[in-house]
Amino acid sequence: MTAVPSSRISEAWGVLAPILVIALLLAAWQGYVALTGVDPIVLPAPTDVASALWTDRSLLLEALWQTARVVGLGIVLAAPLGVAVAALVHASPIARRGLEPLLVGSQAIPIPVLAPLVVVWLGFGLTTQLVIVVIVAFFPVAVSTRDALAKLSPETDLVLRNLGASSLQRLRFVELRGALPGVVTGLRLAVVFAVIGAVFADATGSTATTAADPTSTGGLGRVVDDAIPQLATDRAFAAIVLLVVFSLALFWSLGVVERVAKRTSPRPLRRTS
Amino acid sequence: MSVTPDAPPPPAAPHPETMTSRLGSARDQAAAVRVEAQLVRASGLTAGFGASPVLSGVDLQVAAGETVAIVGRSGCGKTTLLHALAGLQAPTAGTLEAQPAALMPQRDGLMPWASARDNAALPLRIARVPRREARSLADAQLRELGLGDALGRPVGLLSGGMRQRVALARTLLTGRRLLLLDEPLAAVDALTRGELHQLLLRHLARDGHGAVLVTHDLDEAAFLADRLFVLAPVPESAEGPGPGHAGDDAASVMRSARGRPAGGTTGPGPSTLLPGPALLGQPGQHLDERGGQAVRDALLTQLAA
Repeated sequence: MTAVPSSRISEAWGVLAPILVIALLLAAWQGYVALTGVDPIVLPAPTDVASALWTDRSLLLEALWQTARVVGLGIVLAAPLGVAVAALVHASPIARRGLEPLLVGSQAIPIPVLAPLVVVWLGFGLTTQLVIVVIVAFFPVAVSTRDALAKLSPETDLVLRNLGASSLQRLRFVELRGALPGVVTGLRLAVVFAVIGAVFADATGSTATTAADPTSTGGLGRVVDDAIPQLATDRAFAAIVLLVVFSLALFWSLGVVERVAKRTSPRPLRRTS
Repeated sequence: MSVTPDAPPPPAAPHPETMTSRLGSARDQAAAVRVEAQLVRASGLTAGFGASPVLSGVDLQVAAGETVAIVGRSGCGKTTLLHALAGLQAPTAGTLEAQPAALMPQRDGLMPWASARDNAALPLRIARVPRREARSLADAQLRELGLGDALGRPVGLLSGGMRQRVALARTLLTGRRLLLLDEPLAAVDALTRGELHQLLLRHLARDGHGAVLVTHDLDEAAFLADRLFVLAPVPESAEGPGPGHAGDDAASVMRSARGRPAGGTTGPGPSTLLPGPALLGQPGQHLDERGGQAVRDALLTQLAA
């Protein structure tokens, strides 16, 4: 028998560990349902959820598409907004003083409170959903970008001051690129927030449901909301599984982008003393 | 009172050697006619924070074509002096007339994610030179400094010596005639330092340019400079009560609240600039040929005082 390098072993564990944990949890769940005979309306077994995933696949995929669309569009709107707010706050102390309470305050309002209000103001539909998603998603981008801007090298700042660069020139030639890793970090958080926002947008009825548009199925949040009164708990769980997988996929793929962005910017802070 | 450059001066045209047709225009030639022989005229310059100046009574003149080296212990206000000369920190007293200066900070301040080319081109881009043109000027300057193979490489992947060359290229491409170098080679290994000394010697004081070099390396100062200065604490007896002495407490509180001021001081007292021992021979000769042990001893005496 040959010795396996310990790094290879720990690498294998890194992949296996999460799979094992999930498998154990699923097994325990399945076992609990089988042993106690709990009503599947209260707690469906993992196998029930899996079969709901299959039988309701067209409904679920359509709902996933709706959610993905809202999240995608929301991020596309929220990211530039967050970066713009961060740049403004970074470049102008007055803007920072003026906007900071508003920004932080906007995050203190719970989405379940905010969402119905937005519905009242804007009615049902995509616009309402987007507004909710953008409100929750732009904030992590703004905060993370602003921090990254503030952490850029003080020596570079000195050079820029010496060159007489304007605020716009600083942003254009140096700071926005330098803060890119921070933008991506903010985006990773923003996608998770955005998915939650999209679900709340669904849940408060901001999706055009049968009343407004008979062909629209709404997003995954709508599916959960509709499934529970229909006692289709397995379908609700199936929708939640898709939400989790969707969030993780976005989060991880942006993690890859983040690593690439950081690889080409080795430590903006290069303080040696 | 003080004649200080309020705003950072606008970037001037790039270095003549690297000028293309567009930049080698009549306007630049006209500017060349107005060249003044004197790059820095400072007298009684005081800088720092309120009644706790970091620098006090600094007199310094730098003429075009010369390199002045300033030696001193760490924390004696060398960086503050350069920042004052660069117009980055307003003097609190005294007069200062200085040509627009290009500062090469102690740690290079390069953008690690950007190529050598884009780093060197930064002053040109800020002076609104179109990208393509700025890049070709940067390439020419970098080639001249021996970086022809690294033009497109991210600066974060370059060695310390190569980074200093990029920083030098960026400094030269400001087109400003007064160069302020803050311990430019502190982070470079000895072999590379020798090569870079040769480069600096060729560029610091060429046609109409002049340089103020802050360093703690006597050999470097002797090799590059026409004249030596020592930045040393003001002797206790010479330190009269300053004009703002009433606000002493408030000022010292402010200073400790800010931590070390830019370039800060370790001791409580301000520093002033004293003419160092005269150097023999010419820049480009090593310390041994420029006075050797006598210069070293004289400097150490001044620094110890």
